[in-house]
Amino acid sequence: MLLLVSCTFSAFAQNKTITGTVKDASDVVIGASVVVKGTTKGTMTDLDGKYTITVPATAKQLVFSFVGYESQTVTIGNQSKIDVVLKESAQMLDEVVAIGYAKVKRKDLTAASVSVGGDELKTVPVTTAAQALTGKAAGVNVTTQSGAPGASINITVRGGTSITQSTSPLYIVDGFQMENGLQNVDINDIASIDVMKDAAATAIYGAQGSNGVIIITTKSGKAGKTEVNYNTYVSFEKLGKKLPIMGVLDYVKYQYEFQTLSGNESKWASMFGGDTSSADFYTGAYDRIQSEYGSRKGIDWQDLVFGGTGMLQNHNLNVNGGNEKTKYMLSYNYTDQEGIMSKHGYSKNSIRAKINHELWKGVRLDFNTNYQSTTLEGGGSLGGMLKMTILQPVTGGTRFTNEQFINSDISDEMLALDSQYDVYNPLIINDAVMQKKFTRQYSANAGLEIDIMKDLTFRTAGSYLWQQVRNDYWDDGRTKTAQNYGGPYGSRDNAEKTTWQITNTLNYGHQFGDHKLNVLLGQETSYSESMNLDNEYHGFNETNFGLNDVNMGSAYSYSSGKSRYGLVSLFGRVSYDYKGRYLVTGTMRGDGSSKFSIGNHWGYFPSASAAWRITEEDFMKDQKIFDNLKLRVGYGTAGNCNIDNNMYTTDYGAGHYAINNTDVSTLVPGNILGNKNLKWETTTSTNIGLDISVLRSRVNLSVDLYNNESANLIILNKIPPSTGYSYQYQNIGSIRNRGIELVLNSSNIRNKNFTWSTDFNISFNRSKVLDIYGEGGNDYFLKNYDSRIDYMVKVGKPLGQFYGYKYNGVYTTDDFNQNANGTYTLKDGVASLKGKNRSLVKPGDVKYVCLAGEKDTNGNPVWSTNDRSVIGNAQPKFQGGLNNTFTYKGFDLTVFMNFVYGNKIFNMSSQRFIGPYLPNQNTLDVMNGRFNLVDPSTGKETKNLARLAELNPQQYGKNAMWSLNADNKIAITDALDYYLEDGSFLRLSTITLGYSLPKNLLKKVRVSNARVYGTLNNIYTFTNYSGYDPEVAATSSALTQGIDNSAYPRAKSYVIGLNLTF
Amino acid sequence: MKKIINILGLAGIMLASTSCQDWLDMPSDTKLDSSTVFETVSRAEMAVLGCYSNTFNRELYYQLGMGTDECFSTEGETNSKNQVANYVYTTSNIPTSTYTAMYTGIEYANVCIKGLKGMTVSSTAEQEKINMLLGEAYAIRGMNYLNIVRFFGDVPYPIIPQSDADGFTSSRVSRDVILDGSVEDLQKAVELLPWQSEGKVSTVERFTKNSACGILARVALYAAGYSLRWDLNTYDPSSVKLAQRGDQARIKELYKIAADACKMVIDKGENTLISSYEKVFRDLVCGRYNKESMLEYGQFGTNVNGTSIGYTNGMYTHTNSMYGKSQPAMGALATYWFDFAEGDTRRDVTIANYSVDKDNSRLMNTYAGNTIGKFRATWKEGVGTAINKRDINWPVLRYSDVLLMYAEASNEYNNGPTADAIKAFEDVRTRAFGNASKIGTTPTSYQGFRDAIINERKLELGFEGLRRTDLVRWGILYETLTQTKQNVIDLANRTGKYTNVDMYRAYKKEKANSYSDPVVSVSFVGYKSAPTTEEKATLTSNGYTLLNMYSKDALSFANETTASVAWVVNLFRGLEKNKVELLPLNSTTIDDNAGLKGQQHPLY
Repeated sequence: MLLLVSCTFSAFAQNKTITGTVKDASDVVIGASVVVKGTTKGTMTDLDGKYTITVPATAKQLVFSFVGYESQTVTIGNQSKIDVVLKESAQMLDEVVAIGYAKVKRKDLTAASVSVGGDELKTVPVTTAAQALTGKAAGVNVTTQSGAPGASINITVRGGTSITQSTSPLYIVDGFQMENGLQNVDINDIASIDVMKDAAATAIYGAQGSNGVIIITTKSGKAGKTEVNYNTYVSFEKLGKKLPIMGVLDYVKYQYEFQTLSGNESKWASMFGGDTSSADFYTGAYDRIQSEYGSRKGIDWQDLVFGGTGMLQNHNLNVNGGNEKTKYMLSYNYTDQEGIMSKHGYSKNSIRAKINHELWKGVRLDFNTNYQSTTLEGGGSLGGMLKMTILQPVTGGTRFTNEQFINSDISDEMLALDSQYDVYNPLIINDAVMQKKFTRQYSANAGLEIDIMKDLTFRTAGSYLWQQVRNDYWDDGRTKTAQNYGGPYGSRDNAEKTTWQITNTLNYGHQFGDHKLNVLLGQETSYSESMNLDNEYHGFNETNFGLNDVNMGSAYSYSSGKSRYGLVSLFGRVSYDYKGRYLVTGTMRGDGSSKFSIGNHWGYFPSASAAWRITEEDFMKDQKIFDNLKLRVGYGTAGNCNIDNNMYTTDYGAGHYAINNTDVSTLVPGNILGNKNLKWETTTSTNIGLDISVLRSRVNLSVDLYNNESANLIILNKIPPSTGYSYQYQNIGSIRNRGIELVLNSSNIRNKNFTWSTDFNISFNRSKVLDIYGEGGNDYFLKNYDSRIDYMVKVGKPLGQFYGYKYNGVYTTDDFNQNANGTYTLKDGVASLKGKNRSLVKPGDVKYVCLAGEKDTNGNPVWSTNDRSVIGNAQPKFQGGLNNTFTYKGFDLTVFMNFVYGNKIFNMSSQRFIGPYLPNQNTLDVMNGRFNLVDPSTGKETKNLARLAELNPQQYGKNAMWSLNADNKIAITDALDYYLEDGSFLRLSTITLGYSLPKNLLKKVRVSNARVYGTLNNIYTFTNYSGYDPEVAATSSALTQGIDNSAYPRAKSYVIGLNLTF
Repeated sequence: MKKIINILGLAGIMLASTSCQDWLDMPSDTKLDSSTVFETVSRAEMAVLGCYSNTFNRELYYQLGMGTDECFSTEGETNSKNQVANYVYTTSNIPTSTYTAMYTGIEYANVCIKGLKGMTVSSTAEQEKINMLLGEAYAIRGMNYLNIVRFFGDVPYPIIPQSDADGFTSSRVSRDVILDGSVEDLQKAVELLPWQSEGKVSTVERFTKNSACGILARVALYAAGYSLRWDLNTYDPSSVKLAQRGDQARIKELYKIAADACKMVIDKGENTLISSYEKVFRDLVCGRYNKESMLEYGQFGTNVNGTSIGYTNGMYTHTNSMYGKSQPAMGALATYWFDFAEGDTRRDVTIANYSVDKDNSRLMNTYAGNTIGKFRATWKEGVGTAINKRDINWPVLRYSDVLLMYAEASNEYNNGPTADAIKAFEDVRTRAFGNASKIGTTPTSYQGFRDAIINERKLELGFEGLRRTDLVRWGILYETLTQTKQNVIDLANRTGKYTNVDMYRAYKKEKANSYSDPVVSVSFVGYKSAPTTEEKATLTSNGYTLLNMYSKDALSFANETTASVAWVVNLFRGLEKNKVELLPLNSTTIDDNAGLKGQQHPLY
């Protein structure tokens, strides 16, 4: 934070000493740096704001600087006492922003862009920068897919511009493309992140820029004394929340009712005791259950599986230094994370070296290289683990002790009771399976910059990236899958990818009096090639050496592939500025992509933007209100071609047929028909922004309004199966995103000992589908997720619309007539499921709302799939973040909250984990509110409507829970609005309290800066959502948003950390 | 400003039109272009083989194979397979995979036909090979169309590759036109293909002249038979009726085509009935070929084993048994067992009267719990690739089918059975009973012989996926199933012809201990009423297990057999005459194809 300077050099005879005081408008400034210009010689002001510096006679100027203030350069001349008053800087304006192939000061920016500095990221001790970005940047939505270490993270800018294709932004790391840059670059190495949001900004990246561009700049060496930084933290993670499931007593009652209704009382008795032939088996059942199980201790499976404490440790060592000609930086990072579940973890080793050198005057060389190796164990794909955990019986009744249940797999015996039984001991499965993903990545880039003339610079740069991913999976034979395969089995998949890119740019910048002109011309070529080889082996008799000697098994399945992709680009940008008052920028990019057929390779993406700094006008000179007032307008287009290669032809590839008990190779085209007319997706965006600074720049506000229309969206369109193909990629969709973003930074209090600043951002985005199939086609399509919930994508409507049935409560006893023989009959006029035999309907069965008005042959209303409708939307009304930072002397406190409002979540956990599913499995405790069909006093199902009404006073509730009648199984597979929940939340995301040790104390141990801190991560979330966590995403697809299918719950964590600078 | 953008754009265009063009052309490294496939004969052969994987689909025996007098769905009434099996059609539960797969095979065949015709040959051997491949492509196209038409009636009819068509949409074409086209395709195939004995093809998983003749007969019989028809111009619901085509002469001609095609195979003498019906299916599940099996859909390994034969339509075997899990979703209808005459060896092969429990013991099934026995895992020599990928081929065409088709076509053409027709019919029965003396008297009238064939096909070809549409082409689906349901109710009530069936059966619970299990059925002692206490004691001491045949004491489909139990009540619950004989199109099929708008089955 503070610029630290070495002690003064021994004095020369011709040296002179200068003293003085540094003040700001209100008080003295402590710790301001005073440096002789052009050297590293300098000192700091003391507690009284005073300084003393000895300077050589040749020294001409002193530079006074302090964070938050504008630097001042004072000519020494003959003075020996120099007092300065530092002016608080409009720091927002001086901030340098990366705009693609160049950087500009924020005040000169004409497009919509948001930046997050490395310091801001540093206050959040998380493993990736993507997580740290959550809620920090307006218009940038970051969602982590699950709580597992190394889980995938979805990042979308302004709602994304595509319907079916990727909405992932383009990542540019130090000038070069890198997939998943925010996860691939170590957070400790990041100096700044700039998110370019509108096409006026992204058009310079043309074909790939429509989803926004995230520019990551890594840290570089600084001239001056060698600096050694060591940052570390240790974090302890605990399960944040448990799902409420049934306890022992409720569970046994539930099982009794479940089994009795299906006539399997004897199976229940074999599990929980009793003799079905004894006289009081039924009548005494509930009393016996109460006395046997009323106080029995059950098994807390959630605790056993996810109840561990995961430890995360992170170490970062950074050495940097150099002189005016050569600067270097060396950084090493180590992260090791254990999940809250055993055998789940993530570890990373990463090393980065960077050197900048001036070869000759006007010729500069930079080189940057990074190697990293990560190991991810477990990962999200053990998807069934949560189900295994939640559905496990909470007690083994009279048959098994808790220990037997925990320590062995009794599923075989459970299977004997019910052949559909499908949960296995999650502890044993976890123990039996080894799943690891190894990623090794090497990257290097180098650039040469030549100042051809005073105002003209040429830069040529190249990068190379190599990545190898290996996925190992080994099952030692104890899982059910392995038993079905006949023993241990495993797979090893290898994938390799290389990418290179060459960029040449010519930059011209010249000031003609009040006119400033900047011209950029560039050319870029990039190429990537990837291949994979995947093998699965079965038939091992014993585990032995596992995947290390696959000769002990036999090959079961194998595949390989290769693909290439090339992009050639030409681009340019012209910026003109008059007196810093009127700013105009125009860009143009042409991109040629190998993904399209000859004739469609090229796409052109122009943009223009302008800004008017009103405060620079003469008529504003005298006003005192605004320190900065800037109006920005931008318009431009950008493209997206994030589809598979070679979709322009119908290619014949490997197929299979069985002849003579062998698998013979055939040639088939697959189910996607090529489309030689395929071309770019294009997004046209308009952005209007206003930047305001008031109160001597202590309050800064930016407002952006945008309208993004994406056309020619590439949709994998269904074509009639009678063509012989199912799909074709076609440019037929169009979508619009409109929104408002608001960013507010305020320095609320700033005095000698205490500061308080607030950063707030909020964004509103509304999507609307404008076109899907073009003229003549349907104006909607349904997208299914896992056969559990559908999405309705319809012209004129937003994305993220859940489509399903409206739950209408249960059949109440009023819906039936009691017959003389004791049975009941459904009244005429009461709706039922189409095709269902009405005589089989019981009170407590699920009822859906009939919307389509269908009737059966007897004129009774029926519901069918035609009665589905839009039941909610996954897209939030608004979202944002609020950060408060307080400092008091050496203490700093940061409280960061993020929030999302107005979205619905489809809670797949509650859909999957309630009954009636299968006997001898537990359920969520909401099933305690079920409609009871069994009369506790008789222990048998009652058909007496009056008695049923008495047993079920809750039956009239709109969300009344259905009975355990087996027919209600449809409710746990159908997409019901019953499972939709409000996903709004306000998360107390991080609270960090730090203390920087006093400098004078540290000097003695040659430490220039030391800070200790503690952080609480994800400590509390205000929400009505009943699942583990309201921040959910099962996939990265824009079509299937808002699904909670978390295989692995999110943890809360407690962190202790240390920052040291030598 | 604008000028600069123009200059930049111009520069871009110049760049685009030069060397980059070549660099950007990156054809796939793992795929061939559709034009390069037919450059060599061996690649062309690979393309033809590629058609075969789309000639069959699990639906053809599963959803679309149940709902007959032999087979019913054991799934719940809200399950779409159960609904389709019981004629509860909605435009959303209609299966679409067969429709898709058949058209995929047709497009591949269309591409092959065009490609093969355009190939230049360098030798007679090559020409012969190309002729054979062309014959296979024609045969596949003809057979695939039949599989669509017999369930959906009039459907789109593309006979050129999609790349040569203008647009994707297509409308219904009269089934008569389509099946006439299929007859023509198969006639071409018969001409082009070699006999199996010529040794050009070493497998029954590909077409030969033998099997092309059989499928030609099958197509011709369907083309001549009944189907649900309506006015293709008006889609008027009142025009819907079950009828044969209008042209009587053509019907006659089609029966002749069918009879002649079968006769060709019979006269050639390459195919025979093998002596044991049991061995036919033991060979099938073990991947062995014999002279009876004429065309099979190949299933082997991980890549071509998706139809779950022996799993979905298997005999129940418990997960923990040595055979691993088979989880049938289809059952042998309780009355089917009684349809077989005493001494008919086909009964216990066709219907598994036992299941295998977790300890490998054979538990006898109740009436309701009987399963399909033809594809049982216990007869295999090993597990196969996986429990649901047991490497069992689908029997598309057997010689006994050819004999019965010959008998039928000949009876129709000659308006009564000829001696040859009677011989063909009796050959099938003789093999079934092992002895000509047991087969009873063969009717000699036209109608009597027709009825006998209808019954015989049920016994000979049970669970082989043809029954449902066969009943339709005979025009008797509604009547047959109405009677069948009454039979099931009678059995449940032990009335009518089921008055004296066993109430209890006692059997010895024995354990299976190997693959290639020799057991065909579990033998039993029947009891008309509950045994007395003494009888029970004797049975127990002699190691017998007593089973109430009406109870739900079963490993698979544990349901009672009573007239009021759900599965009986729900049986064929959607059946309506002149309506369900053809499936409506799934609404997605119409949504995906603008040409089908307004062309739904008029009664849906």
